[in-house]
Amino acid sequence: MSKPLLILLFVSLLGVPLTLYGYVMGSSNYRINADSLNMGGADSQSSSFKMQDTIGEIATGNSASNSYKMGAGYQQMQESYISISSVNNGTMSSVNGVTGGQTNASTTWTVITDNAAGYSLSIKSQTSPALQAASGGATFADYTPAGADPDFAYTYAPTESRFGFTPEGVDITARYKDNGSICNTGGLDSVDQCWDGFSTTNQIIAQGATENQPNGATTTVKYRAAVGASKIQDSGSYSATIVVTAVTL
Amino acid sequence: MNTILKKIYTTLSRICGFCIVFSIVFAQFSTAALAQTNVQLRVDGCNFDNVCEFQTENIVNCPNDCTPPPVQAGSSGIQGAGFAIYITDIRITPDVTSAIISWKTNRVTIGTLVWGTTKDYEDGTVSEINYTTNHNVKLENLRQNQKYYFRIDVQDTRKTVTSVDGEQFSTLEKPNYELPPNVSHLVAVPKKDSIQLLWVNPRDPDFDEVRITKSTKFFPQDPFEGKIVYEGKGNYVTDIDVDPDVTYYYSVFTRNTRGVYSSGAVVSTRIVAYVSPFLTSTSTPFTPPTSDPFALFPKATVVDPLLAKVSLIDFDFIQNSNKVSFSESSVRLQADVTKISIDYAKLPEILKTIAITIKDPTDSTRKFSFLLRVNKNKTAYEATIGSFDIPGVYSFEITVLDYKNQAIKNFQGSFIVSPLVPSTPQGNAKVDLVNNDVYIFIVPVLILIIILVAFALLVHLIYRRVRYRKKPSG
Repeated sequence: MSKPLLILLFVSLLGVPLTLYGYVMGSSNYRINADSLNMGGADSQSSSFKMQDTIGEIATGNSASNSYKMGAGYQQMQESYISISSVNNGTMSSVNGVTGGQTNASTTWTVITDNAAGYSLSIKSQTSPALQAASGGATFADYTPAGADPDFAYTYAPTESRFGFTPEGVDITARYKDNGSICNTGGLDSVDQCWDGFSTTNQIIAQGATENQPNGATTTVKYRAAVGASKIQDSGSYSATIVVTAVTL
Repeated sequence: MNTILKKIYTTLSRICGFCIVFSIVFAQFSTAALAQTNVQLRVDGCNFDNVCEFQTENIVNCPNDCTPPPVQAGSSGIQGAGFAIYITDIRITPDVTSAIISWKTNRVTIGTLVWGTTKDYEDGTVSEINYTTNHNVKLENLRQNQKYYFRIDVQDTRKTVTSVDGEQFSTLEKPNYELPPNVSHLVAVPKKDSIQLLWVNPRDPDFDEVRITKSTKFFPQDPFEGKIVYEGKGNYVTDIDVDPDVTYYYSVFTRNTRGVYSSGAVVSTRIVAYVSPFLTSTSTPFTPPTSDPFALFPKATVVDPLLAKVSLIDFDFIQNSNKVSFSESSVRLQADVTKISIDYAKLPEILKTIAITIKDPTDSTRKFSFLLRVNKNKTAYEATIGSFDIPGVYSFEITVLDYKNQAIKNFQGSFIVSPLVPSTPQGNAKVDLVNNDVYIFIVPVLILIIILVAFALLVHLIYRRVRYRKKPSG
C-alpha cells in the first residue's frame, strides 16, 4: 500500500466515528451506542462530575443534506430522543349539578425514548383549580387527599365538588402504587385507585429506567369529577387544560 | 511499522495542526417533550338565572329556577324579586340539657340556628350541611330550667337568606329521683293489747309525712303494700288492731314534698297472750320479741351464684354525694345522713329483700333496720338513713333475703362514726335529733319527778297542820 493511501485511510478512521447504526457494537450482555477512534483521551470523574475527554479528532461538526443529518465528531450520538403521543378520551359524560354524581375520562400518554437512563413523566394543570367553567367563574375544587399520599378511594363530601386524577401504567411512580388498600405502599396498580389532585406545578407520575424504543411506555391518566348530593354546582361547560412533560434522565 | 506511524503523525501534525481539538462532554444530557390535553365536562342543572329553561331545567334538577312562588299566609318570607322563602311549622322539644328544634321551608334551603339566653344569641350556632325542606337541629349542653332565645336563618341555592327572630323555649328541670331519708330510732313496743311505734322524723326540708304499713307475713316492700297503720307528720302511733302471739311486720316510709317515698325503715314485734298466774305450766311459754326482724331466717346454704359473689365491698356508702372508701369491714363515716347502695346488676333478678340493721352502740339490744329499695332507674338498691346520734362504733349487718332458696346471706361490718363538722348544715339536724330524743324520753321523767316533789310537799304540809292542831289540846 502506498504512503498517501495509508495516510488517507488513517485520517478517515480518525475523523468519521462509526455512527451509522443505533450502536456500534454489542452482545447479549452490553451495547455500545457510540465510540471514537482518536489520538488520546480517557474517562475521569469526581464525586460531582463525570468527564470523558479525547484529543486528536478531525473533520468534526454537523452537516446536513435534504436526506441526511450528520453529527461528526466526538460522541455526537449522546443526544437522545424522546417523544410523547396521546390517545385522548378526555370528554366526560355530563353530571347533574343539583342532584350530584361523578363522571370519568382518561388520556393515554405514550412516551418513547432511546435514552439509556430512561425518562420521567410529569403532569400539571394550566389553571388552579384545574376544572373551571367556561363562564361565570364556577369551578371544581382540586382533589385533596386526606393525607400526604393519594387516597386509595375517591371520596368527596356531600357539600363539595372535586376534580382529581390517578395514573395507571407500567412505569407509574411508587406514590401511585398500592397494596390493595393504601397508596404509596406495595407494588399493585389497582384500577381506579390512588387519587390525587392537580396543581400548577409538575408532579411526576411515571418513570422509566431504560430506553424503551420502539414501542415506548404508556401511562393512562384517569380523571374524575364529582358533585356532592348537597352541592349545587352551576350548570355549564367546564374544561381543564392538562400539561404533561416527558424528560430524559 | 513504528517508523511508518511516526512519519504519519509528523505529517499529520504539519498538515492538520490547526484542527487538533480537545473535547469535553458531560455525560448528563436532558431532553424534554411536552404535550397537553383538554378535559371537557358538561354540568347539567341550574344556571340560577330564575328562569326555568325549557328541556334543560325542571323542578327536580333545578328547583331554584323552576319552583313556582307559593301562596301562603301567616309565615315568614321575603317578597319581591324571585321566589320567597317561607319558614313554617317551627317545633321545639325541650329536654333538661338539650332541645330539638325543627321547621320547614317551602323550598330547599340550608339552615343556621343561633341561640342564647338573651336575644344576642351569644351561646352557640348550629348549621345544617344539606339542602332540605324539613329541618331539624339539636341543641346540646344547655342549662336546665333556663329560658333560651334563638334565631333561624335559611339560605336557598341562590344565596337568598330568610330569618325568623326572637323564638324562645325553656329547658326542663332535672327530676329528682333521690330517695328521701328514712325515719330513725324506730322501735315497736308491745303492750298488753296494742303495739306502740315510736320514731324520729328526718330533718329533711322536703319531708312531708310518714306512712306506716303492716303485714303479718313479711315487711311491706313499698308504701302501697300491706295495711296502712298511720299517715301523718307525727312521731308515734299505737296500733290497737293487733292480736296476741301474732308477729307484725311494720314498714315506715317517709314521703317528701315531691311525692317520693323512702326505702323504708322496718321493725317487727308481737304481743304475748296474757298468762294468768293461776294457770299451770300447760300455757304457751313466753317468747320475748326480738328487735332483729331477720334473726329467725335460716342462714343460706345454697344461694344464687351471683349472690354468692357479692361481698361487703360491693356496697357503697355515700355521704354528701361522695362515696366513702373503706377497707375490710370498717366504714368511717361522719355523723351525717348516709346513703347505702348496691348495683342492681350485682344481685340476682329474682325478687329479694335487702336490709341493713344497725345496732345502738350504747345498747346492743336496740337495733334499727332499713330496707334497700330499687331506685327509679333500676340501677341500684338504695336506702338513706338519718344522721347518727353520737360518734361511736355502730355494728351493722346487711341482710339479703334470697326468696328462691328461702334463706338469707349476711354481711357484717361496723360504722366508725366521727363527729360531723359543725359548719355543715347537717350538723344542726343532729342537734335537733338529740332534742327530739330528750323530748321523748326525758321530759316525761321530769314531769314525774315534779309530781312526786309536789306530792311530798303536800304530805309535808298536811303533816305540819295536823301537828299544829294537836299542840293546843296537849
